[in-house]
Amino acid sequence: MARPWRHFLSVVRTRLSLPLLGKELTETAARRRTFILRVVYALLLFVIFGLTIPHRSFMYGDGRNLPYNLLGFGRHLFEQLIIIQVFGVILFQPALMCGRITQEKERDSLVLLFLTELRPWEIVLQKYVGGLVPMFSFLLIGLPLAGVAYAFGGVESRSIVEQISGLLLLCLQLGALTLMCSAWCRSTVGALISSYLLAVILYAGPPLLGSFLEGLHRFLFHVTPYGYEDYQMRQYRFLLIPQAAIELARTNSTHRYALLLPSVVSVGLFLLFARLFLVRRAFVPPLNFLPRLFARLDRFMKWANHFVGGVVLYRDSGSLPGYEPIFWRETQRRVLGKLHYLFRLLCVLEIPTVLICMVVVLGDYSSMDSDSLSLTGFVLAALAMFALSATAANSIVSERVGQTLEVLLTTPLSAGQIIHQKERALRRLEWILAIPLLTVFACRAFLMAGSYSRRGEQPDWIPYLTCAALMLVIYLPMITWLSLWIGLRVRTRFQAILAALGTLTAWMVLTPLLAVALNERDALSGKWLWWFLVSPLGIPALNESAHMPHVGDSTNPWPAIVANAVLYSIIAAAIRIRLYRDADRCLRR
Amino acid sequence: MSNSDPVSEKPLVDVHDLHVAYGRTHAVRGLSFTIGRGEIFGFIGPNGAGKTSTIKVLATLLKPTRGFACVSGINASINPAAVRRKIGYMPDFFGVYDDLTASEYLQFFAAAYHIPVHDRPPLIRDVLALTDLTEKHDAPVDGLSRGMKQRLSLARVLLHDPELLLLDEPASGLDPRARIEMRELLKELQSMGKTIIVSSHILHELAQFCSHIGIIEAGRMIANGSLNDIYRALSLRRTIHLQLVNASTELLASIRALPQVASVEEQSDRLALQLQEDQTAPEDLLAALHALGARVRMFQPDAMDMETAFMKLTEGKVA
Repeated sequence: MARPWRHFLSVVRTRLSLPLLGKELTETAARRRTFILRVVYALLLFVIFGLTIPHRSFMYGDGRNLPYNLLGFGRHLFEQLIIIQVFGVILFQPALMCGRITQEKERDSLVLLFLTELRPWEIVLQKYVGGLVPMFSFLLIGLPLAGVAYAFGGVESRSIVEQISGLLLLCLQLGALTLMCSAWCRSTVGALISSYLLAVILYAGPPLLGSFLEGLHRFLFHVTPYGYEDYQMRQYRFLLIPQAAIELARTNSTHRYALLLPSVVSVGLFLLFARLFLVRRAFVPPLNFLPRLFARLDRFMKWANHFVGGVVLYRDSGSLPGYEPIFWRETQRRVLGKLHYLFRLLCVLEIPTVLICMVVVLGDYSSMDSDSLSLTGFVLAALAMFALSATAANSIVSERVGQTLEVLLTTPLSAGQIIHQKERALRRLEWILAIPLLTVFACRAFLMAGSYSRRGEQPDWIPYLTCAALMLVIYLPMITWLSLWIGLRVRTRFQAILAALGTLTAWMVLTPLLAVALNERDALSGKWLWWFLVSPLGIPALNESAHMPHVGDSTNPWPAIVANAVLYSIIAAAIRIRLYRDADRCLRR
Repeated sequence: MSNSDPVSEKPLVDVHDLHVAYGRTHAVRGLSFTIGRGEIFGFIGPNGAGKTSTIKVLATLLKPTRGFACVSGINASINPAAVRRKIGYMPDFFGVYDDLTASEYLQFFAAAYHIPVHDRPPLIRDVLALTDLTEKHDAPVDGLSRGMKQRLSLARVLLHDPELLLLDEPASGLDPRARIEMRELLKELQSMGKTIIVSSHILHELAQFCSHIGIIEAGRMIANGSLNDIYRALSLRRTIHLQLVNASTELLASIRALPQVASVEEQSDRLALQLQEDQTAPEDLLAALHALGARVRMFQPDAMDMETAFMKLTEGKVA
């Protein structure tokens, strides 16, 4: 063989040895977390899938649970399986992939990779594949279930190809997006949060923007477009979601493959940006985003204050710690503890909330207004849960990461006192987050009370407001205690925030979903409603959707409200007791 | 170990049959030692030997799996709160809050030690002066140099006037100037009568101010005593390098036959003699060599220092 050929083959062989990919896969395989996540994923997948089967037989059968009742339901089961897997990919892919590049930055090993023969593109692609392989292994878990669905009949081969292609494309897209965030961010926590945020923008942004523009168009030109063509046009807003694009391609024979282009192009673009950021942002210094944001906001507020004559409502005193040093530091030096920063946060949340409430109250009360209030409440509740949980989980971990915990533990302060002072400092944040929510609930109650006089219905605002207020009083501290407890048990910020948010999301969202999956048709009436007590959001959600009177086949909403309040008070108290009991042990004293 | 103190006086630190395990890994295996008041105890050992684990038990941060560690007669596992008032712990990392100024940092820990509010300002002035950080009173901790942060940590340790200072690698990562400053500071604390346990890798620095040394390897104490005790113990096999003008087979055989000589190794340009130290001193050997008719060009006993002792005693094993 000629020498150039031999050299070429040698170079190709060297390049194809993929050392970084090998290292990534070895690391992933050696990590205990990979196996735990895979088991959790498999359990969730099998349990949720398994629960849908017997229910179906009852719904469509003759009342007897006979296997032949399920014949022909394979298609439905397969679609259910794909939906569960889509949610799985959205939840798990960012968590699995966000640390691929940031961890190299955190360990200062990225520079070592640059010094090797590996080119930036090779690094990006090997990291990309290294991150996709675990997710693909997760998806493979669904294969036996797909076989079960196929056995029931009704699943077309074409449908299998389409759905699986959509799922794989979703993995590729979300993986590329997360890798881009990982290349941009300095820390894994930052990459995780920005990945989820960008995913929300990517998938929910175009539909929301479309709705907004449509609404604007209707408002300006008084058009009422609800024809078939408008429906078609509306579907194009979902083109960035691979599943939706494939669904649309199925019905559109002329531009079948073109409809998949946005998703495919987005993968390429994300990878291109990942390649660019990998080098340009390889040595960015650690950036504490929140303090910088508030410092900028501070400067802006001071500048803006000149125009109103320099009014100062609250001045930071140069106080020194009394006998509660941790509380002092948390409330005087931490961004989400300082009173004037919290006041600004309150303004940011409360002003739009009040505006929305005013529009609803001053307008003609309708179900659409009620929906906007519910949506506002939902967004605020999600924000409260996220902010409180992340702050509380980070509270202890930040001492650990900052290497101050050990020093603190050698002082006469007991672990319980440390936790108590941290918890007390977090109460301010709880109040601030509760105020906008309370505004929404009060507005809703006001509208309910008003609707009594016009419609002559039974007033139900008292139980509604009681339920909502109890939710705030019980749940916000419960979230704090649970997140503090999780923070006690983990070592890194990433683990703390991920574990706290994961636990709360699973508890609050998955259980109602499970209840709905169990009994789709009857979920909102009769005996199944007690299932909703399993989730903290169950009864409040029913309260919000005005389904409370049906709880327990009774028109009286109070038993459900009281049961929910008592149950979660006990759970919250148990978590708090556990938190204080475990404090010493978890801090290794 | 403390042989300088009166018999009636109890040691300040008493560690007995201490075992520490992290899961299946045994970091400390049956460590026992005592430290008298006012002593400076140098804790030496390779990485992973169990030094930090032992110090953490004394600092009430770890519970031993077996045995006990007492400070001033108080068991650190049974009554940690009481022990915490008697100790000042400085870890091998800074442990400082970057969002505070130097004085706020000290105020924070003064509050944590329940020092009355009105006593704090003069106290903080004093410890800042002692650690030569007076000028940095209002400087943000974030902006301090590594050496200054380390001195600030030491100032924090001194706030509540502890009897025992536990300093884990206080000079680690410091530049030569900062190391010298730290060493001088420790000497000053010694003169103030503080009992100090200090672990370090910089062996010759420890030798300059430690009254006692404990060498630990794989979780076990392999040498413990005053510097002289350890040197004497190690000198059992002191090596003497020898060059003879009239080296011959017969002379070598006569030297090997000397009762003071344990072994003779022939090297390219010299002989390496190992002595039975308890039977003879180097000067006696020299006299014996002259008596045998040897014409000595070079007679060089191995210099015994901390590094030699450390290398001789340890084998590089970890727990």
